[in-house]
Order: sequence, then C-alpha cells, then structure tokens
Amino acid sequence: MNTWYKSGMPWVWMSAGSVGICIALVIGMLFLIATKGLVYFWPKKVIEAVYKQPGSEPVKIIGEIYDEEKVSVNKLEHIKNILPSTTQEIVRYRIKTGNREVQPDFKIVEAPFLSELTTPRDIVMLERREWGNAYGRIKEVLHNGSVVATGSEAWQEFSRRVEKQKVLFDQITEIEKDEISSINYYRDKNKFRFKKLELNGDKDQAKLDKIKKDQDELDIRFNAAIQKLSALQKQFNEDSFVFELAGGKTLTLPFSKVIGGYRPNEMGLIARIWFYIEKFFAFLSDVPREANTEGGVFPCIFGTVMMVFIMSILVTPLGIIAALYLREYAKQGPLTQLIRIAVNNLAGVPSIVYGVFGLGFFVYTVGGSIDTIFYPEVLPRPTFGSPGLLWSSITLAILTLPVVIVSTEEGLTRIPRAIREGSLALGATKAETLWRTVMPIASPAMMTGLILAVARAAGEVAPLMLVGVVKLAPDLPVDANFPFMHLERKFMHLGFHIYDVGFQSPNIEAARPIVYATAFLLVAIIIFLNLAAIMIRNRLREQYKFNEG
Amino acid sequence: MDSLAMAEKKTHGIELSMMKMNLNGENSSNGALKTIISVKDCDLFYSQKQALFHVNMSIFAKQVTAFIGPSGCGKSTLLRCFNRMNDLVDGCRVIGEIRLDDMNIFDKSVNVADLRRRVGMVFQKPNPFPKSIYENVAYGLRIQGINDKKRLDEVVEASLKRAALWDEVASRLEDNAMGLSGGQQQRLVIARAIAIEPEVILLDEPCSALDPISTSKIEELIYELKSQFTIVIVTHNMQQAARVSDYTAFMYLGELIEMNNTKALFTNPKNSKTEDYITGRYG
Repeated sequence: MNTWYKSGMPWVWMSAGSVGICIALVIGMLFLIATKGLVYFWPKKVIEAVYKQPGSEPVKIIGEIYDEEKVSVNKLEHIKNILPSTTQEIVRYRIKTGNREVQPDFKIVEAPFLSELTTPRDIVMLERREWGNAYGRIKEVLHNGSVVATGSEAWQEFSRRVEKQKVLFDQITEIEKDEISSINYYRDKNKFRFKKLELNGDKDQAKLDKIKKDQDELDIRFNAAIQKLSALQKQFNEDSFVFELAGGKTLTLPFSKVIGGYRPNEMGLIARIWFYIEKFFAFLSDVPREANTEGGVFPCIFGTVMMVFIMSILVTPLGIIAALYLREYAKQGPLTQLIRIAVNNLAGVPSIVYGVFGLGFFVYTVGGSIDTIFYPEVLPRPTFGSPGLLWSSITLAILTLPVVIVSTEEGLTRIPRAIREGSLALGATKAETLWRTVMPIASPAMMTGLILAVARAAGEVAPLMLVGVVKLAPDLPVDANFPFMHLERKFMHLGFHIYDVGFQSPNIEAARPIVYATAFLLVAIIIFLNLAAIMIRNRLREQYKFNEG
Repeated sequence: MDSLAMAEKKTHGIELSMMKMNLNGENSSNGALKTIISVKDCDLFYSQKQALFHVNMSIFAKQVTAFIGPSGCGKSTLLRCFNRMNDLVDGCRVIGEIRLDDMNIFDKSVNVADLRRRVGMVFQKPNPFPKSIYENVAYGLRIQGINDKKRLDEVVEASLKRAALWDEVASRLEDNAMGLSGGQQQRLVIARAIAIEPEVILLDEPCSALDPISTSKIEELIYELKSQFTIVIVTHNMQQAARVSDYTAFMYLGELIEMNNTKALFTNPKNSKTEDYITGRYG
C-alpha cells in the first residue's frame, strides 16, 4: 500500500477521475437536452379512449400521451377507496388533448379508469396558427359556406385545400412583410425628410416638391398593394371545414387559421421521418408564433449569430492592438503590470454590470448624442438612443476584450527572441518585424482568444436584456430596405428565448420541449462556431509552428 | 580637450597601422588589405556591469576573422555591436566608436535598418521564419519593397546556390522551412542573409547546434563565401577557427588580448594568456 502510494498512482487516478467526471457531465448534459429537445418533432400516436372516473359520466378523449408517471395511491386521497386495496401505485398519464379554445390543453388521467384505448387511423392532428394543436376528425369541407366534400372524401379535399392555402399564405406574407413594410419604411423616411427641411428652415420648393412627388408615388404603390392584399385575403378566407372533436362536438374552422393537418396514426416509418425532418427545418426557418411557444426560432438564430459576428469584428482588432502595445511597445514596469492586472480583473466583472454600463454609456450617452446630432428630425423617437444590435455587440465586445488581450499577449511572449532578431538582422524595422513575422506566428494565440470570446459571448444573456434583446422583434436587423443593415434595431437571441419561453410563457407545459430544443440549438451553434474557429487555428498552428527556445 | 582626443586618435592610428603592417607582412600574397570595420576604444556596459574594455581592432574586407575565447569573454557581445543588435538589450550602453568604412555606426544619423542591411548576421541556433523556403530567402528583399516575382526568383535561386542548398531544396521551395534539418536550416539562414548582399556577415557560433557533417558543410560554405563577403565568426571551437579563418582575435574577460594572422596566433602566440588558452589550460 505504501509503495503504491509512493509510486504516484493515487494522483494519476485522481486526475483521471476528474477528467472522467468532466466528460461525463458534458456528455450527460448534451444527451439530456438533445433527447428532450429533439423528440419534440417526432409525430406521436394519437389515442382515443374513454375516461370514466367513478361517480362521474364517462368522457371521450383524443390526444397524445405526453408523459406518464407512477404515483403511490396514498397520495390520491379522492380515489384511494375506489381502487382495489392491493394496489400500491398506479400509472398516471398526462395527455395533450389540444383544442385550447374549448378545453385545457392537457388532461391528467389515471390508467385504471381508461378503457377502449384505440389509435384510429382517421384522427387528424391540426397544426394551427392560433390556439395550438387540435385533435379530431374532418367531417365536411366548405366553400363560401356550402359543402363541397363530406365523409371519406373530406380528408382528401382538406389536404388539397391546405396545400392551396399554403401558397396563398406565402403570397400574403410576402406582400405584408416585404412590399407593405418596405413602402411603410420609405414613407417614414420621407416624412422625416420633410421634417428635417422644416427643422433646418429650408424653404427650397424643389426639395419640397420632390418629397411630395415621392410621397404620392409611395401612396399609389401602397394602395395597389393593399388592394392586391385584400383580394388575396378574400380568397384566403373563402374556405372552411367542420371539425369534430372528441365526444362529437363540432367546430367550423376557417382554413386561414390552419397550417397543416396530419394523420399521425396512419404514417409509416418513412412518413414519420419525413415529417420529422420537415418539422425540424420549420423550427429552424420559421418565425415564432403564439407568444413564442410555437413556430420556429429563425430570428433568434439570426440575431445570435449576427451579434457574435459583429462582436468578433469589433473585439479582435481592438484586443490584438491593445496586446501588441502592452507587450511590444510599452515599457515593462509596475505601471504596465498594473494595467495587466486590471485587464485580467475586467474578465471577472459580472456581466450584468457590463449591461448596466452599456445601457448608461452606449445607449443613452453615445446613442443619445448620435440621435441629437444626426437624427434630430426623428426625435423624440430614438434611433440609436435605444437598445439595439450595435450596442449589444459593443457591450459584449468590451466584456470579452480581456480574454483576447490575455491570449494574444501569451502568444506574443511565446515567440522566441531568435525569430525577432532574425528579422531585425535582415534590416527590418520593429514594425515590419511585428507585421511580417511576429503577428503571423502569434495568430493561433489570437484565434484562441477569439474562440474563448465567442464561447463567452454567444452564451451571455443577462447584459443583452438591457442593451438590445427583446421577446419578439418584428423585423430582422438585415432586410432589403436601404441601408440593408439596421444595427440600431432590437433583435432576438436564443439565450433570451430560452428564458422567455421557459419561464415567461402562458403555456409552459406545451412550451417545455421547445425550451430544450432551443437550448440544444444554442449549444450546437456555439459548438459549431467554436469548431470553425478551432479548425482555422489548427491550420494556422500547422503553418506557423516554430523552433522552440 | 581637443588636443587630447587628437593625441588619442593618433596613438590608435599608429597602433592600427602597425597592426596592419604586421599582418600585411605575413599575408603579402593577398596584396593590400582594406579595413572595413574598425573598433576604437570600445567599452560596453550591461546596466552597471562592464562587458567590454577598451577594445581596439580592425576587420579586413573579404577575409574571415574568428573571435575565440572562453565563455562570457565578450566575443558575442562585440560581434553584436557590429550590427547594433545590442540595441535590443535593455540597459546596454556603448562608449567609443565602431566605424564601418568611414561611418560611425553609433552616430545618431545612422539608420539601424540600413546598417543591418550592410552587416548581416547568422545566429547560434537556426532561426528560419515559419514560412516557405522561398519566402525565407525573399524576406530581406520584400522588406526593401522588392516584390517583382522575376527578380525575387533570381535572387532566391542565386542565394540558395551560393549557400550550397539549392540542390537539396530546388523541388520544394514552397515547403515550410521548418521541415528542413538543422544543418539545412542554418544554410537557409545564411542564404537569407546573403540574399540582401551585405558587405559583412557576422556568424555567431553558427555550428554549435549542428552535427559534425553539417558543421563541415557550413565551414566549406564559409570558405566559398569569403571571396564575396567579409566574414566575422565567433566560435568556441579552436580547430574551427584555425580551419576557416584568416585572422583570429583572442578575447578574455572583455578584453581583446591578441589579434593576429591565424597561423601566427596559433603557432606563435605573443601573449601568455593566449598561449594558455590555445594549449587548453583553461576555457
């Protein structure tokens, strides 16, 4: 035992053990969020059953079994006496019954009281734009109130019309989102052009006429778009169908409220996989619906990635230049040491403090000044004087600056004196040596700094809540309207989305898988960004490896 | 003050010319030798510590001069004065004068980068840049703003040939220089130095990190290069000094003890310290 101790093996085991724990934790976490999040898109069987609690009328229910748990009978006082005395515990299902407008979304039922449990093939799961999913059967399809299909033909007719409606919906969205919002954007601009002339006391008739002319043109385009839109909308609202819920109650629903209808019990494996892929891509590419609890997360992905990119573009040059000065030009002494300690400590400041600083300094002071100088005609409506993408990126750039400085400095110190002297001895000046030799060799270290910065910035939420992230941003920060990049706009962020959907949503139970899926997506994006940076770094390392010492 | 300085200069002049005469006498076959670097009363301090004491010497053009002496005797320090590499050392001060042709290299008007273009240097350990072989050799030219591909190709090829490396690397000029062996790297560094056509090449123990075969290749190279460049080499290895150099300077504790024609110095040392050193009594 003593020799074993002396051999150093306990320490080897200890360190191996801690590495093992770390790996297990990371993999466990990824596995948890991946399984919980990714099963969300898989079509589950829809059951139909009769639920009869003793002493009350039997009810027919249709829905998906969401989860099940074993419950000890002792906890179920109200039904304890009814169950056979030998029963210790029973299974309890949580069934998603949908049809939120007429009943609660979820129903908790005890397994012993369920009977006639079947999975009929003709049950339809409706995905709707409002009120969540609905489960039931398609009875009739109506066109302008008159029946066009009924019985077994109703499903085919329904599927056909849903496809037609999809095309219409896309056209309507295009007009609303692109055409009308673009016209409104330029109308707004025009209004402020006029106001600017007024503010400047400019009475130039030519300019005023130009604005008037532009305004008229835009009005004509606007009216044309509105007409086109209302024609489409009329067509869009023509069709409806009769939907039978569990228990025989029927609803007449317009097609305009339906995204799609599926018969999950009818699907084979391939159909299910196809459905899964379709839903997964819809999740990646759609905008959120229903207070973010449904639909996709595209604006969040876009906002997160764009913010990280702008942050990187800002932080990398700044950090590298600061490190170069600190390491190469500043006289090494107590003062530089003090600055170095201060930089290191900046990395330890809680991020919310940066948020407060960003709000107070960038948004209100800098942004406010920009508004009074460059956009006086828009005031009191803020342009840059309110939280936005630019300020978020800058705030995070400051937050991650220490990481970049420290790694770059490390890289610079590691470069052997011999290589610098080699360059100087060939008649290069210090600046030329830095630019042509030292910086390329230190580039892998700079990339390390960037990797750490990206990892930190992509996951940061707290400061963003103060300087630019919102629950729902109507427009992306990039669109087809001049000047295309709208960095002053507020944006959505995956991290904040997780918080919002998970803790602020009205229908937490239904939104839970989305929280996991979003979390998985956020982790995946961070891993992807990091892997990309690591690959670049490894190539640089390979290219610029040098003789040590 | 003036007269004093003049007097001092005069004595140096006499000393130097005497030395030259002496050397010329024994090297009559080479004809008249031109002094390219002259060191006058050179003192060097690292902060408080003095590393060189009143060094006076002349280096002759197109000759190989070797500096020998025990570790810490200041031979590398003196060598690094010739291209002002010591400027990079914090707290290093030089008093006295070193002239390259007629230019005092410590003069304020001297551009250090220009000086280093005229006085090239090769270091103890091979220090190629982590770039391609081609870019390593072209580095000095690119620094001078020469980016003409044809011109660079010519110079790279010529330099590598002069450094006796061309045959080994001709087919892989775009490969990273880090893939070469130590001896090849050192010859690459020499090619890099001669690509910018310096007048003087300083070699600071160029073979101390190399195996015997690579060492002999470098020595052959030094012999070849002598016809075009003035070479100053610092070496620990007395046999090497005897093999490659025309003149040898023996330094001890920061002082130049003796400098003479290599053959004369090794066969007939004037100073007892030199004798002790070359016969292996210390160092």
